[in-house]
Amino acid sequence: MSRSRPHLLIVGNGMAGNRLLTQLQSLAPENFRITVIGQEKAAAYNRILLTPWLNGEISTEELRLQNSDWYARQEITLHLGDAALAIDVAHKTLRCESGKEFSWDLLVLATGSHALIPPVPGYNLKGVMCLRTRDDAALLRQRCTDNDGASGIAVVGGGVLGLEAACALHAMGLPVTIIHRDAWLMNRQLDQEAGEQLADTIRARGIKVHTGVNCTKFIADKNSPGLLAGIELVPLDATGADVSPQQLNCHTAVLAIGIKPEITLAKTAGLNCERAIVVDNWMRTSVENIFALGECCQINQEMFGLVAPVYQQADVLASLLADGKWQRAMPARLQYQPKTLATRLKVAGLDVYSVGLIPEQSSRSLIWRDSTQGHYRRLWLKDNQIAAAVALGDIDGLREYAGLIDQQQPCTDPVSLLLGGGAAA
Amino acid sequence: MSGLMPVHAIDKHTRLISKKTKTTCAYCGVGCGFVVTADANDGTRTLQADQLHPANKGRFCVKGSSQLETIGLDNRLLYPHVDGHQTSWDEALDETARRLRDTIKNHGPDSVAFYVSGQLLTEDYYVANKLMKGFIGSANIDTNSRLCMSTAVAAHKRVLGSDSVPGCYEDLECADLIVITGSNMAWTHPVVYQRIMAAKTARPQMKLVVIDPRKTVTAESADLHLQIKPGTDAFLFDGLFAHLIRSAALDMEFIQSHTKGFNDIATNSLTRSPSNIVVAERCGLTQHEVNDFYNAFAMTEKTVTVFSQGINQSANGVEKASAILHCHLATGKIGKPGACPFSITGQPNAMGGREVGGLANQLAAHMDLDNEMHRDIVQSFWSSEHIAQRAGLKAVDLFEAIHNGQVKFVWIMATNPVVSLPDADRVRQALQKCECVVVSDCVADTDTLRLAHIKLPAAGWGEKDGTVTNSERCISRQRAFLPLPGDTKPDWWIICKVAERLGFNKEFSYQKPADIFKEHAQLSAYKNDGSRDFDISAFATITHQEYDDLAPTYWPIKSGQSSGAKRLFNDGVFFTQDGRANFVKTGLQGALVENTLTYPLILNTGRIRDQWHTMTRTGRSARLQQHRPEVFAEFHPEDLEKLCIREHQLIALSSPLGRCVLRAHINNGQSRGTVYAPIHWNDCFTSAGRIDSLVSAVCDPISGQPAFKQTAVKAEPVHSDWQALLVSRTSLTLPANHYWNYRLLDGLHVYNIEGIGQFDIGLVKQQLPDTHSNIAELSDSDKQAIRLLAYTHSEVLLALYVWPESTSDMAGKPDESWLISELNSTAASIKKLSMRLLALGSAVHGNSDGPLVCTCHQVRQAVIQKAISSGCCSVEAIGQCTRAGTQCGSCVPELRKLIQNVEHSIGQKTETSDIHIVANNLMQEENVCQKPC
Repeated sequence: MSRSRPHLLIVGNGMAGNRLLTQLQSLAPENFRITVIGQEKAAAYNRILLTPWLNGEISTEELRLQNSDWYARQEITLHLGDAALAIDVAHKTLRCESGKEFSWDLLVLATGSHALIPPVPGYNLKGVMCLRTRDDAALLRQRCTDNDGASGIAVVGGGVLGLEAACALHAMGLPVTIIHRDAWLMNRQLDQEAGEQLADTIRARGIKVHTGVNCTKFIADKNSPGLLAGIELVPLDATGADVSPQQLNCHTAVLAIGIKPEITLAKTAGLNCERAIVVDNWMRTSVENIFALGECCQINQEMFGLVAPVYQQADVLASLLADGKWQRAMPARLQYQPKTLATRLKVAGLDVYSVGLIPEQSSRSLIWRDSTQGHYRRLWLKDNQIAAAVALGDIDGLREYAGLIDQQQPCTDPVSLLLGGGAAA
Repeated sequence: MSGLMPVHAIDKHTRLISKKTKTTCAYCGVGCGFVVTADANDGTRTLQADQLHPANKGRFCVKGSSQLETIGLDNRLLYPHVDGHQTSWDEALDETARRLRDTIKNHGPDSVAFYVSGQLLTEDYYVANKLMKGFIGSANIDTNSRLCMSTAVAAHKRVLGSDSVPGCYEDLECADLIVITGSNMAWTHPVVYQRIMAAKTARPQMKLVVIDPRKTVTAESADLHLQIKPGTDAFLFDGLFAHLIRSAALDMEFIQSHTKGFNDIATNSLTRSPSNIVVAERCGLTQHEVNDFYNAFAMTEKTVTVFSQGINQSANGVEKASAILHCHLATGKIGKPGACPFSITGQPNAMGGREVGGLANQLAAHMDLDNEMHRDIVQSFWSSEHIAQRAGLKAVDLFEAIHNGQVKFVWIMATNPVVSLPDADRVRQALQKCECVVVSDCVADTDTLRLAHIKLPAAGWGEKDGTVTNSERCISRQRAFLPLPGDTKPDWWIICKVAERLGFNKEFSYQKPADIFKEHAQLSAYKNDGSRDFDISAFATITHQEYDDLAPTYWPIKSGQSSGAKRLFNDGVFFTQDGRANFVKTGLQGALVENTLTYPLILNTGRIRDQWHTMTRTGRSARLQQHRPEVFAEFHPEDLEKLCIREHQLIALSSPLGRCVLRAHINNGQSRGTVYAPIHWNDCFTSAGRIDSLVSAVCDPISGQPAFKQTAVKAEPVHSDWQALLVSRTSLTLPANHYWNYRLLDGLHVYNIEGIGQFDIGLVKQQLPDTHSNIAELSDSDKQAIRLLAYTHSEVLLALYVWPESTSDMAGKPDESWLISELNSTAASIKKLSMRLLALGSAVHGNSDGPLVCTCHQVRQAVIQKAISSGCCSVEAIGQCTRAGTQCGSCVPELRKLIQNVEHSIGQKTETSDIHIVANNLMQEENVCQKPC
């Protein structure tokens, strides 16, 4: 090991940080001395598989992104279970909560995000929790075991994460209720008909779904005041009428109303931050030699929650670092290019697909309904170009949609596109 | 006589008895022999060409060979109906007889009429003719043979003295020159065409000249195609006659010994056709072409001239046919092997109809109505009180007489005049006005049946027994191999039962068709003594058994002869008073139909290869719908361009009489300024396709045969906003304001529709069968596209596709054959059918690669397995090779298991199906792919 190699310090051992490591090791294994700091005790794991891990579908081994001896073999120093606390930009150092200090030549922030907590009374009661980390999942599993037979679990938020969590918990045999503020589930991805059909499917599985209700208060247990006993719910949009709050009894409330980029460290260090750490198309922050990627960063106002763009960012940064050209003018071919991405998931046995931004009412749209089979598929066109699509039940053949949205080519045969997917169009 | 039929053949291997029945084809005038074999095990029938039948000697055409596909009982008329109500036979026969009797009583025998058909068997025909001419006492019986053969009949009679086809099919094989005029024989008489082609291959020196204004399939195989101006055939043959004189190619010996009137017409002809250049100019040919044809004819002793509808169906058809006969007489090319004029008939039994006297101007057994001696012979033979004294109304005049109320009762048998007669809309009006229309038919719905007061269910092909005569005077048996379905009865039985009710019990008390045939044979012999060509006295004592066993036999066949004559006139003696053939003066006037500014195109009508007449039978075979699936008209490309019509666009073709909507096709073989359209389509198959509604009822003045081949018309584009395909298990009623074309394909009712405005989907939904059908549907906010599928737990009931007419290329258009095979596939249980993919309307490739493993990159199991088999033994390697597992990683565990399974299977030689089971189980756990991390 040569002392002369620059020291690359990566804050964060999540999916973004891990992707950067693996790409860098394959592109330029000798270029850097690398240290990784991780707040969680566990080394990098696949966060996407957290819900199947929660209900035991996959093992801890399968959850891991790397074998336990991988870091050692790659001569990467792994510092886990300690949070980075402060960056000294001038001296190029970083201090952790434990007091340990690292110097760096290059610093990468891959601090990810944390769950949004609604600003309502009782949010800090025991039983109100998130499902972001392996520890969260372990804790949730523990709570479910402890409260076996008692009141149910509420999942607050009927978006992708909330539905995932609710289904995983339901699969464990637990009584689950989904609380969703908007008029239909996955309202950011689906139109009303698809959202309602999704809710019907989920209900048919035995999960309760309340849409169009606001969670106004987490209610404490009368006997054990620190513990959660229920949630106060108020229906929205009940204009004019007196709406009396309802109470939903639950021992645990899993919050899944959204995520917030983790930018405290960057902000404190004086890096340019807006909603997230501002980086350019080459993942460079406002400070020389400091980079950021993943859910903690933003590029041209765009923020990231899906794995695909994050991996692309990691690939861009790895190439950049491997080339050693990060201080000079950047070649355009290396830059991050935003792409339209589809959301696909399986909820309660139902395949759900969404891509693009659903345009306003007046746009042309085509709908395929095979109600007996529970199939629904809709395509929106804007200026005769495909703008968005959703599908339920049967999502075969939709791979080309995202690419077609980006290509902005005129759509000559929307019917075939809707029914057969891009391959048939 | 050979061929004892039906025979029982014992199969050596199964030792089971299969039943074979020899019969004759129901379609064209070639009259091919078939063998129908019913399997003893399961009763399934197969159809083979009869190796022994002289007409086809083992050959087949596509229409004939698909005949078993048309004998199903759907759309069959199975029970009698009177005024819309199903009745018993007694009631229907009583009512028919009552109305017939009342009409005669009130308005006389000429106020009733029969309009019969070359589809009838000789025995049916004989009793119909006997009843009308011999017992009702009117000659108002005419037949659809008027539309195809009456010109040849008239020409034969006036030139040869009798309606005798001189030659036989073998002459076509031994000729050195064959001239085909007015016949697309490759399509209309395919087996005769096959025989010519085979002979031509065997003897390449044989030359084929085809005269046709269109470059037909037949013309394409000719050594010389004379693409004449429509209707100029008379000029061409008159020119040939003049050329034969000028070039001294005459057989003076034959002319002097066996003909009369030569000199009278020779001068005329030489004046009219002074040179080949003049003829070439008139006919739109080059002088070179004309010379080639004329020289070949002049110099080839063994020449056969085949003529058919192109000659017959014209306003001066008799003159044209006579001109052909003249050329043969002048060169002695008649009655010799390989040398004769040959009229080839359209229908399976047009010849039989001529023999019994089924035309309004004939009497019976080739005897004439206007011949007092003949009337006496027939009257005395029939012992009838009132025999018709004068010719009756010919087809066109007959329907005009119905229209003007002169004829008040008409009985139509086995034909569809609302489609097939010229000025067909007027024919429909006539029947709408007629006091009583009786229709005997084997199908349940035709344009004509829709106007019937009394419907009588007749036996169809395969159910009825009798004889037919083909174009070469060969009598063969049609035999039943099916039971009579429902209440159906043979036509002869129906006619005889009505005759009984009219009081003619004794004269119509036949037990079997054999009894009628025997009487027919006796009449042919009665007071004949060689004076009449038609003589089948060999059968005058035929027994039932001999009739059942009757092998194909040429006529004449006289008492004591064991075989008939294949050729006539080899002795040069004709059936005229003096035994000489006549050269008859011809005028050559008023023959050409001129186009006008308003109607600039000349319409020629004809047949297509795979349809027969008005499609009542051929329209039921899926196989026969493939060749020309939709009603169409063919244009020269330049004409279409001038009219601003795109190929495959709908067009309206109209004459002063009517309007049809057809699909425009380009045919480079079409002459400029002409259109060709088929005669087959009708109101049961398309919205407005009855081409004969455009054709005016101009007839040859002698034969009364209509001129179907030349009508001045105009063509205009028909604009559509949308096109649709509708496939249904049940037949549907379609909106009257749209264009539609119907086919029955493998039990599915298939409609191609076009229209303007919005497609009325409600009208389709209303007609769904009253079951708990499920609906899968595509709706378009712009209302441009519709897809609708209705299905039950077991089958798809209906599939509808609507797409904008402006759609480019194939976009949006369903693949019909794919769809039908999907709907009818036995493997496709409703669970396996994706309604979405059906709605897509065509096959999508790439879904057969097994379940989806990597959702991010849409990589399927089979692709991954292939990568593993080809050496990718790690998740990373698979990722590099297929991109699977390189994005979210959710499928990495499955990839690992697939690797293990493939390795395992290689090690353990496990069946690959096990991998599928494991992999399928894995797929049930398929998980989130694109989601927040």
